[in-house]
Amino acid sequence: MSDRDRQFQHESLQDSRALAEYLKALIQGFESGTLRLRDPEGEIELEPRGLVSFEVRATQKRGRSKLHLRFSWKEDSPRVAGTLEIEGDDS
Amino acid sequence: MTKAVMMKVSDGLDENIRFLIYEVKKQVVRTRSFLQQPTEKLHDSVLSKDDYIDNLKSIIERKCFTLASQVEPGDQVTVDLLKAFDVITVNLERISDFCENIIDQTEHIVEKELMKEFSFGPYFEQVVFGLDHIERALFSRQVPTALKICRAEDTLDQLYGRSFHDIIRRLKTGEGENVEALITLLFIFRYLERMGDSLLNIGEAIISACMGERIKISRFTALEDSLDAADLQDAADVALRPVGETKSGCRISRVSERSSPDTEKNVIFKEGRLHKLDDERRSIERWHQLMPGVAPQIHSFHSQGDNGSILFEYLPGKTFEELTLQGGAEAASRGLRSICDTVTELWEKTRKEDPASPRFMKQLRSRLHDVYDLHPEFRKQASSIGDVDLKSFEELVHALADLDEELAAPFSVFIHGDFNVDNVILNNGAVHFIDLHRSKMADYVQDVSVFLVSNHRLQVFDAPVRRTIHRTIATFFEFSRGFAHRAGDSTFDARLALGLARSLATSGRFVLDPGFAKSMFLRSQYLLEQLARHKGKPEEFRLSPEVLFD
Repeated sequence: MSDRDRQFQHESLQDSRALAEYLKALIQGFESGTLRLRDPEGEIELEPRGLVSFEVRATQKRGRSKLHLRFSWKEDSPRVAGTLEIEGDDS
Repeated sequence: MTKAVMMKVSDGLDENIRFLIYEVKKQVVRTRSFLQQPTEKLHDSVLSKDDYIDNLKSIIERKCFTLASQVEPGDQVTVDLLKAFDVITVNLERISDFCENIIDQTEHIVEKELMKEFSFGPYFEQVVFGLDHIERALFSRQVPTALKICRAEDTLDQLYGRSFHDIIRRLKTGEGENVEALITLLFIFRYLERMGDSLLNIGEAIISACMGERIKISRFTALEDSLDAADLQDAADVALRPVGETKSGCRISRVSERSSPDTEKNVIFKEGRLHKLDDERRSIERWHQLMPGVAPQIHSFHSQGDNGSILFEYLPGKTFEELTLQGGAEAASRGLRSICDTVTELWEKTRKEDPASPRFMKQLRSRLHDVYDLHPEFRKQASSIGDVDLKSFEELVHALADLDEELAAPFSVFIHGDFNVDNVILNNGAVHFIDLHRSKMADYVQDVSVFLVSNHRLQVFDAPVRRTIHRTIATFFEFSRGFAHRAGDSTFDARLALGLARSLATSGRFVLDPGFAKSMFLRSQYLLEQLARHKGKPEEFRLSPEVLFD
């Protein structure tokens, strides 16, 4: 990992209403072109521009549902290569 | 005992052990003679016999391991006996090693005349006395004889105390010109004293084999006194079966007569820290006044120093945990109905119009570091996604401090205090509570939240059992909310959310499985977020039992 490689991870249990809030924050990030993810170690600033590879995967197995959203793109400058993954889980 | 194993035990092992006892005794006698009159011959004899004893020990250990692998499942008597053989062998060999150590030490004493001023005789008499009783105690399974072996240790300790003070006095008063010799003599006495420790281990191993549970002499004495005070069986004639160990460190055993283990004369022996057991005794007395028949009868209470022991009535039946896991959905549902009836009666009968503030967040804060010790990965700092702030667990607990302080049940009732599924016993519709040292007048939501989480926490993931657990949770939740409604308790949901959050998070200190512990911790955090986000009055907060479903 280079000095600039960063990772942000958050895990929690939420109901649909709260999830909508988080998704809105992401939508806002896409719309404005900047999505900031911050934790005590620092901040990741993602700038999804141009063509973004987008993948949706949903599964339903043994009463457990999963929704997997994946966005990835190359930054113009070599500063950050962005990837945003969102996973939903329903059991 | 398995017949085949029994035969082999008597064919070979017992002979080996008798030999070992005999050889170790001879070592002890030779060492005594050597201290009286050191000779080259005795010196060599002790050292050469030590190898022979080592060898004998290896043979016995090998046989014990081979036999242990052939024991039929469930044959606890043979397993206990083999364990005793092993402990006895290790400790006999240790006594022989101490003999060798003593002989080695004498080489450092130039002034051999000094040795004559000290009396080693009483030590050796105790050690030989102990060794002489092993065979009978072990092979005739005699607890009183084993106790004599244990008591030799006490006498040896007292002898050592006297020798120690004598030597220190000589060192201080200048009689200690022979400092090296005096210190060497102290080592010799110390080895003799340690022979006593080995004898104690041997005696305890024999008592444990006879009683069916590992027992230390202090515990045996407490049991003896308790049975005596209650006018029950003689401690030497009973068998013990471990029932469990509480989180507060008390040990619980079921005591039955060795000759007829399944009689109704069974009692429960609980031993641990005095103040916990004293709390429990007092609380049980209150239970007897308030709800006769729910708590077990106390046959006797005994204290010694900081430790105490209680002899309880043995309550037949199944715990609610056993009923859920083994009894099937119907039995669990019937059991739950009985529990609901009992707590309704309890809550209605003991209700006092004093508000009770449970202070769940305060309880949570005081135990959180234990959870983090076991699961450091749970300690997370605050973060954010875009404009949405994600509060850390501690921030949430802190943010809810005011609410925690403000919320109170409008009345108090007498609560169990540790209302876990394994602290409720059901027997043909009768409900009994055990482990009652935390009972007090308080908010009933405390018991409700502990009971709900203890159901959720059962680590059985078999689908039908899990469905039974969910049904229990939903039913008990609705039942308690119904009671709250009738009783005019309007903040029940908000307090229960705090109570569940507390129990879910603090359960992590007892759950090693990181996945399961995390799942409970996230549920706790979810509940705290719900409360923190709630904008209306606490009375308007609504909780769904789904937070405890998988």
